[in-house]
Amino acid sequence: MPDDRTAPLLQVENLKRQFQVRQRGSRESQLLRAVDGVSLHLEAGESLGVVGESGCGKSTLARLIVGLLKPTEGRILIDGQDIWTPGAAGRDRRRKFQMVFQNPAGSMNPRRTVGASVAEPLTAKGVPNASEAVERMLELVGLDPSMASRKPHQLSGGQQQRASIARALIADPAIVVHDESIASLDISLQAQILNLLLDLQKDLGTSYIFISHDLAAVQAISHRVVVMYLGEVVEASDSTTFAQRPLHPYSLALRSATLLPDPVHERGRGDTLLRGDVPSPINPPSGCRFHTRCPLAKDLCLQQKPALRDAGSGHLVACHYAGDTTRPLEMSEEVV
Amino acid sequence: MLRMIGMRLLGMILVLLAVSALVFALGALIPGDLTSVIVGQEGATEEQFAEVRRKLGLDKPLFLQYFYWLLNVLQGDFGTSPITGRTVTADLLQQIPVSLELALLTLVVSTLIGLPAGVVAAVHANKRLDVLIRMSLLFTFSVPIFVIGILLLLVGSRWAPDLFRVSYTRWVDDPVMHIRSMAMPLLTIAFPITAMTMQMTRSSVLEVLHNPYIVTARAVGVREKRIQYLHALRNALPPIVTFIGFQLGILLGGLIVIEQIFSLPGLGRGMLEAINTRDYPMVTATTLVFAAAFVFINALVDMLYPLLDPRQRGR
Amino acid sequence: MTASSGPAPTGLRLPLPLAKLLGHGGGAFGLAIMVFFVILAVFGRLLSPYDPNANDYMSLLAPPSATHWFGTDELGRDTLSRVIDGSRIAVAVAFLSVSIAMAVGVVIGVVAGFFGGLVDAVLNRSQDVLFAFPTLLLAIILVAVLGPGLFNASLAIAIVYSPRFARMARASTLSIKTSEYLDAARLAGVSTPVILVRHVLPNALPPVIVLAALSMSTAQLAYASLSFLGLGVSPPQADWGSMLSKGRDFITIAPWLVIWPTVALVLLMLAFNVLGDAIRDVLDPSHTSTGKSPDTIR
Repeated sequence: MPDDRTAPLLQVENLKRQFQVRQRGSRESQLLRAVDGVSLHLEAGESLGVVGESGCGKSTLARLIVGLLKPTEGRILIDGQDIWTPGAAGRDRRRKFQMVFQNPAGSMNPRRTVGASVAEPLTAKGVPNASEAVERMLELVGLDPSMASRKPHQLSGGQQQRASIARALIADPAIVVHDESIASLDISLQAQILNLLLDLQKDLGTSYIFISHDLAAVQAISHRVVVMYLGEVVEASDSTTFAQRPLHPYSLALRSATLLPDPVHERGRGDTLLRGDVPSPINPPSGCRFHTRCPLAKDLCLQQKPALRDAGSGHLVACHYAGDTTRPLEMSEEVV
Repeated sequence: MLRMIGMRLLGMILVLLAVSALVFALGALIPGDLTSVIVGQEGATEEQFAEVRRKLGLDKPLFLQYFYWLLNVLQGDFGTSPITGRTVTADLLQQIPVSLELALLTLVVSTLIGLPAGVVAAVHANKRLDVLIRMSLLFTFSVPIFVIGILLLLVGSRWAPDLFRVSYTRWVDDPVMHIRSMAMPLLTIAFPITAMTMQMTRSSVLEVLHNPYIVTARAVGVREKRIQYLHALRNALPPIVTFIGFQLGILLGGLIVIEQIFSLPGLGRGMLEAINTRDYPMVTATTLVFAAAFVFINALVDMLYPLLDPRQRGR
Repeated sequence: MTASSGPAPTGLRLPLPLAKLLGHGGGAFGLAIMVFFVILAVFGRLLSPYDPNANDYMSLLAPPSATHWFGTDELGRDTLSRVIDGSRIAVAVAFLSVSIAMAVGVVIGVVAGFFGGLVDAVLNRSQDVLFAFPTLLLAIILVAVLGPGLFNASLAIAIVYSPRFARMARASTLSIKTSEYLDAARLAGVSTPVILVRHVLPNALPPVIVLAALSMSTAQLAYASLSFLGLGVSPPQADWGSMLSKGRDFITIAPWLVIWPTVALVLLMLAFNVLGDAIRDVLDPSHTSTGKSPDTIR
């Protein structure tokens, strides 16, 4: 971790968020640890990808980072300053975050015009004439400015997504979190929108956090990648290193779950698909949380929780056995 | 199962307590004062007022008044009417049987007619008979009960002027006159209630008839009549029973109106009279009896439901 | 051009449902009858042939004739004039009580749904208690407490009906509360009061408007029942319910005294009913069943 440098743009320290849940018919409520001690950092102009299966807490993490949820424990620092400082200071810091939501149709009030929705971050600030800025922003994301007077349902899915991006960027945020925002689009549109995002990043210098279950897409557009499992970070690395040599068995499994267009590689990757479902985050497994599904699991994994350790040049992994050997880990050999 | 019934009973008791508090509070809020009714407005001195207030416990805080009132009510003592001088309980015991008889007869009649008619309507869905039945339903839904009552009075007075224009007579005094005096009120209130039972049965049976197991029964050759009248009705029954709770609200409200139209000495008429004469103990008593009956029967239906629906029985 | 936050929607939206309503067969029919009664209510005094409260002892209980189209009552008052005058009360009560119930219910429901917690718990419990009374019984008791009169009767009916408005507003608020556009608004830094007014209220309202339209007929009916029981406006003000109640005494010798108020009452109720169904069809096309809420005051 680059702790010796000056404070990064975003620093998340040991973030935890728990929910009280009551199951049907039961009286006692239980503790659901949706995000359980996540730390990460992000530099200005960089992109960070957060990957994991549904239910791993990545959406909660997204809502925590942008300030829609208050953390139970831990801190979120922007330019080294806590976003939950009471009063106006904290509020101003929280305004440096924006979010593009999963469902572009649902993220705009159906009864207001697209223009009004895009202008909202400005009007809320009290900017008097937002319409010019809206026009400029719509053009920037590749929409005709006349779209401003339409209702959200009169736009296509791709246009809605562009409008959501325009709204996220209009108030000049430092960081935009994309919560599965690409997944709901057609494949052809996905590429278009991703390219648009990268162009905008070059122009505006905004940092992105991509939250997704799609490892391949995230790898391709992020500078750094973080893999989450049951509320915890299991692996963190820059994306080139990660792409060449993922270490954690869970990351390997995720990678083999994505289809690769290379038949040779495809044949050689063996059967490392994940078995079973994600365990409940209410009663997570003891020791390493992945041991119930891990092909490498040994007795130690049941008893002791692996810490996040540096496997070389800032490549962090939380596994007792991964990356020990010099040879790349081939899970198929180890499978019992 | 027992646990669930226990919970329901507890809930019912809590609601009843809240209802009694509300009834008492509303009774206390009715403009005017019991003392002035008793003492009379003219010529009464301050001391006389204070004396009566003390006697009635009206000088105590409202909360204590409620507490004492509730204690007495639980022992069946609703106090004495300042208007008639009789105990309220004695009047209630005269009135309740009249209303109860009308309510029970209505339920019997509406079920005996409404249930089969609803099944027939469902089986003949969207054919001429069904359309006819539903048109008459639409009519009864858009007409208040007292309009039905008046129309019946009108028709009755034209064609059978003397047959049903009979003032209320108790069964023990003259059974024939009793039946004649109850016939018109029953007819009036049974009209909309039957229509509702029919409507509910129709939609409930219609829904069941589209179920896969009915299709299966048909496929394996169970006779069509048997399917329609036995299988379908049995499975349509639970929602129909829960509907009784809804009907009850209308039935109880209807009783008040009907008793007024036909001058039946029941609970509803007693309540209206009490409101008009500012007979506070009587107002609170009658209101409480109505509300308690409503709450009690609704709770009963709630508890009965699992017995009818095997899917709920295991819980 | 392309104003970003212009007030265009309100100007544009209104005529469209209205056009749809007129295209809807029942809607046009209901609207026509309702407009007819509203005109009677507003201009009744100009249209009616006689003073509705003028006694004419020369023609007591006179049957319908050229001079008195609908006949006269036991004090020689013209029934036609009184039916016209009564429409004022009927229309006023329907609109007044439903408006109050809707305003109160929506505020309570939105607040309870949005903030949850104690407000919500209190609302739910008090609803349980209010629902423990048959509706007419509750209305009667409330009028007894509030005293008779047009406004008090409307208020009593409004109190009886407001819980269902609150319940509906609460339900839609709950679903709006978790919508992404609300998160987006929060992220944009919009304050909570503005969020409530700009995002929650407009989206919670359509189902409530449908309920309001459907409640008009039941509210009018509830008032007619109250008035029939002697708990409406004070005499001599003409009022359909009390006219029926009085006319019942002369039913054998002067049936016109009950026939015409009944016709007016049923006609207006039918209009409200049909119009309510039409408004629901227009605003909520997904609704298919024609079943009405059975728990109405009768």
